[in-house]
Amino acid sequence: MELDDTDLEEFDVELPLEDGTKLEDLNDEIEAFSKLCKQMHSLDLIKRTNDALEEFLCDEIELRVQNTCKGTFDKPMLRHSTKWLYSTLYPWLQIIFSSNSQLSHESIENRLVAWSKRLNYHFCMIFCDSRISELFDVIVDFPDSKIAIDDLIVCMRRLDKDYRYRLVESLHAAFRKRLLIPGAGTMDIINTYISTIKCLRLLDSSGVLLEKITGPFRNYLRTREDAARCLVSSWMDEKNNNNELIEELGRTEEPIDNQQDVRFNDDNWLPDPMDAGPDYKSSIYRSADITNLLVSLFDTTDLIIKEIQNQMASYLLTKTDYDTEKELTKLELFKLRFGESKMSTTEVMIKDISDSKRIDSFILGNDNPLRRNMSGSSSEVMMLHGTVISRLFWPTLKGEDFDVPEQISNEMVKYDEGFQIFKPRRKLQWLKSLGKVQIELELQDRTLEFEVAPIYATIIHNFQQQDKWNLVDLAKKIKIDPIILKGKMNFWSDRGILKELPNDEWLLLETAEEVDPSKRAFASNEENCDNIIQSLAEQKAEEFKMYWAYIENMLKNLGGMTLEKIHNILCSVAEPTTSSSNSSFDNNLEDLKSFLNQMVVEDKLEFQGGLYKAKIN
Amino acid sequence: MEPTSTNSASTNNDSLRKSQSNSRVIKDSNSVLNRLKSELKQLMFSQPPGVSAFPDTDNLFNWVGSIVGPEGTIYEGLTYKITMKFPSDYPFSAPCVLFQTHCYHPNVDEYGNICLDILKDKWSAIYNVTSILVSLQSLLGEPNIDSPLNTEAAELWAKPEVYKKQVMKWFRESNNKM
Repeated sequence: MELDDTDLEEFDVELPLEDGTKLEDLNDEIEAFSKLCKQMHSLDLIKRTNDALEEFLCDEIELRVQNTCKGTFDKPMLRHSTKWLYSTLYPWLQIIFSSNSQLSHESIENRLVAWSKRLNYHFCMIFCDSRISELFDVIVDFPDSKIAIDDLIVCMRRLDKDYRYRLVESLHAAFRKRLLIPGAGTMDIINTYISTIKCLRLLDSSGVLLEKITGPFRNYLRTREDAARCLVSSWMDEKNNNNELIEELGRTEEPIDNQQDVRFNDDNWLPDPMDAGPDYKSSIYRSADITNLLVSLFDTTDLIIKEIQNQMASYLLTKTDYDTEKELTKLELFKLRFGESKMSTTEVMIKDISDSKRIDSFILGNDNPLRRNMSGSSSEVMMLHGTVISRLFWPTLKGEDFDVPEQISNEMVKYDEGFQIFKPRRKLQWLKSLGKVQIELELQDRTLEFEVAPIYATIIHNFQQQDKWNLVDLAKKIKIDPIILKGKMNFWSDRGILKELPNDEWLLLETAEEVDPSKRAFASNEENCDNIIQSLAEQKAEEFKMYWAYIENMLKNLGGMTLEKIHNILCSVAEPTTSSSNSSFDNNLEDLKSFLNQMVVEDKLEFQGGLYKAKIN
Repeated sequence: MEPTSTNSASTNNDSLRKSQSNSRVIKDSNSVLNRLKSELKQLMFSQPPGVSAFPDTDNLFNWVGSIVGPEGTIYEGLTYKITMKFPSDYPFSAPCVLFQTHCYHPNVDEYGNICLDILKDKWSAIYNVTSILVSLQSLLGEPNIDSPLNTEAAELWAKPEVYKKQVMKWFRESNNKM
């Protein structure tokens, strides 16, 4: 905290004059003050005012910190303030001390140093307190606020260790109040956590502070179902170029699992710091690896691996060019992180896509005998490309069934035949609702191009022959539930291509109609492709559906029962229903409870006095 | 010294034999449990109309069930409760099936015992809970008059109106008792 005269910024010089006083006035004032001091000294009052003086100076310092340092994180406030102390505050002190004419120059100097030491320490404390209280904002602003962190480091070094705990406590409180609340987005929480890691690393390289602050994050993120999804999706995100999480992912050191054991041959080994908590793992908290820290927020990596599989699946399925280069790079990164064996499923998924390329080019190419026979008769190009996936390795995909237009279903049959030549005795099972269709709509006044999900293409295709459809008729034609269809129809009406008339009639707008702009803006952002992977909750509900028959029969034959009893009986009686569930009845009580309550809501069960009862029809 | 040693040898042998037989019983009961579990699963997923059964609490050897009289018979719409007790050597011997609701029927006595060939001498391991339940349901509509347990019911079978009255009387009575 040494004074550096070379870069006195304007900011500082202006300060003493900011209340409009002119330099001459100030000089007069100094003169008057020095006179006053001399007089007071001759009356022997100076000694008696020491306490008041000290109090006053401390107040001044507090005011200064309060008014100028607070909230400014992007300027070296510590240096500015020190400069202020020496250039503004202490000269006044000098005037006071030099009023004592008996004192030698040296002893004045000594006194001044003693005072300034005390005041500097006081300033340090006040400044540190102020920074600690606003550390949350500093973290949020990071890396723009790096200077503030540097200031804090300098201060903390001068103060005792007590301030470390004050810092942790204050940060805890701030997180609880401002971040770990339902209103904060999960991604924001994760990003703040990353900033926190970086800030605290600077403040404390041993990672003890970080370990102390991690607990609340871990506990809170556990309540967020989408935590793993957010984390993985930022890893998978391609569009965001300056995504630091991806960068961090690439900066890998060692697989996560290996980090837990102590390495006995580590020459750089250091004992855990004195104030480390019981959960402190020096390898994780000391290392600079943010990804590992993030992953360690979760109890197991399984959740993350599953999420990677799900998101990889959606990425791969939206591909139309079979190009898996980017995904392979990601896969390699993940492998380094999580180990080869855990990523094998994902590897198969990516391989499926590259295999599909081969299969597709075979079916469409000239090697295919079927195609060769046909090529003479019809010159049309097959416009259907397939992706063949191995069901066992992919997450459960939502496949709504509906009837695609005849031309397409014919193509599908041909494709299937081609596939059977490639892989005899295997049959393709089409997931019609997945995939993408490029369509061009030629209307009277406009031509539009879209890339849409097959269901939307099917809907609009039906308007080719017929301008007007009744919802129910159309639903019958493409064999889909009218209620679902209605939601899908809105996709086209939002784009001003279909129009809903009374009585569930839908009309094709050959000429564009003026659409209420407010409605339009609202609609245009609507998601085109729906989420194709079953969410975890849906999968769970699906699992319970298998047990529903058991529960229903149990309650019918044995009468009303409590939740615990139902769970007990299911545990001892039910057999694993499919190969997918790894043990007999491993669903926990909470899941069962929410399932049963759902059944009560759906009016399939009754709940009275703590007992679930079968509905009597 | 000698006698003691032989003694100890024999006890050792005994305990060995005992433990062997024990392990066999455990193994058997495990296989029976597995069989019962898979039968339950089959029943749960086939859901034959009008019949249902479930283990009584968590003991897989005792089941309770219900049978609804088949349509177009005198028993139409009436729900009869039954219990099934499975022997430890199931499926090599038949389970003991009893009507809990008093069933006025030529082949059911007042204690709920049932005279049905597949539950007695015609039992075979290929039958299972589902087939028993379905057989019982069809027995309600098609009694075997020739070997009655309840002779009065067998005689009345020819007079549906009187018979129906008796059925309803007993059905109500035993439902009230429950």
